[in-house]
Amino acid sequence: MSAITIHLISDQDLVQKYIIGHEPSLEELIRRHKTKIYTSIYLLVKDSYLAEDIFQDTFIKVINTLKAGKYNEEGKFLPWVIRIAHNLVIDHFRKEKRKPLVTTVDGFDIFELIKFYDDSTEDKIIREQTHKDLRELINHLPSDQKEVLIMRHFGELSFKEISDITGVSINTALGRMRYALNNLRKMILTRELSLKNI
Amino acid sequence: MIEISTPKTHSLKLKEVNKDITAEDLSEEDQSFYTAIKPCLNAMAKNPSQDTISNLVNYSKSI
Repeated sequence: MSAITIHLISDQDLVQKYIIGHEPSLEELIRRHKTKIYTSIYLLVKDSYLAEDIFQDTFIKVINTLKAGKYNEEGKFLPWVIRIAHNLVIDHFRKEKRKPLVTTVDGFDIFELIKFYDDSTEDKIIREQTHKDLRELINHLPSDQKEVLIMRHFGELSFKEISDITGVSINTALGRMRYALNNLRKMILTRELSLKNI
Repeated sequence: MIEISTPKTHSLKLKEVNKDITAEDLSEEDQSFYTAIKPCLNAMAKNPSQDTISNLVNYSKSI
């Protein structure tokens, strides 16, 4: 099977091929979803070494489950893997006896409202700084809101899938997304962060 | 006379499916704000190291 052909195969078919011994299918599944899964983990634990460990443990569980023939074909592959990763993140915080950081917005620098629209070096620097600032704001969201935002954006999960993973109703998941966006908007206004710099 | 009824579970399921609308469930204001911050969110994407991926591939081949 050529490298081009394997890119066209659905997740579900790759899973089936892997179960019957086609190892390159696993590599393709990892290649396809590694950014979404790793970013989802990293943004929750905020430590790249820990995120690497949890990413690895997640896929070890995936591999073991698939090789043992215990995979439930009814679910989609990505939501299933994200659920495993999410549970491992929760296990980690339980072991550490702490929750992901939930803090106030105190201690932030006031962002300067400078508007540049061209792609100058200065513009690039400002945009990168704005991204960094917004990333910090996201880190300051309450953990349940940040979790939904991350799963929705990076995992591309539906609110139904998020509700299944987090064990809340669809309305609660949706409400958390709304609160997350509202809180971010408020923090941006408070800090005078210009969305034009994004 | 034939009695026709809808199973209770079926109507509940439909409600559940109808709730599973993603972007449309956010208000217009929320949606446009989300669209505005998407490039920033995308810029936050990170990848695991190649070593981690190689370890996984090797682990899979070893069992």
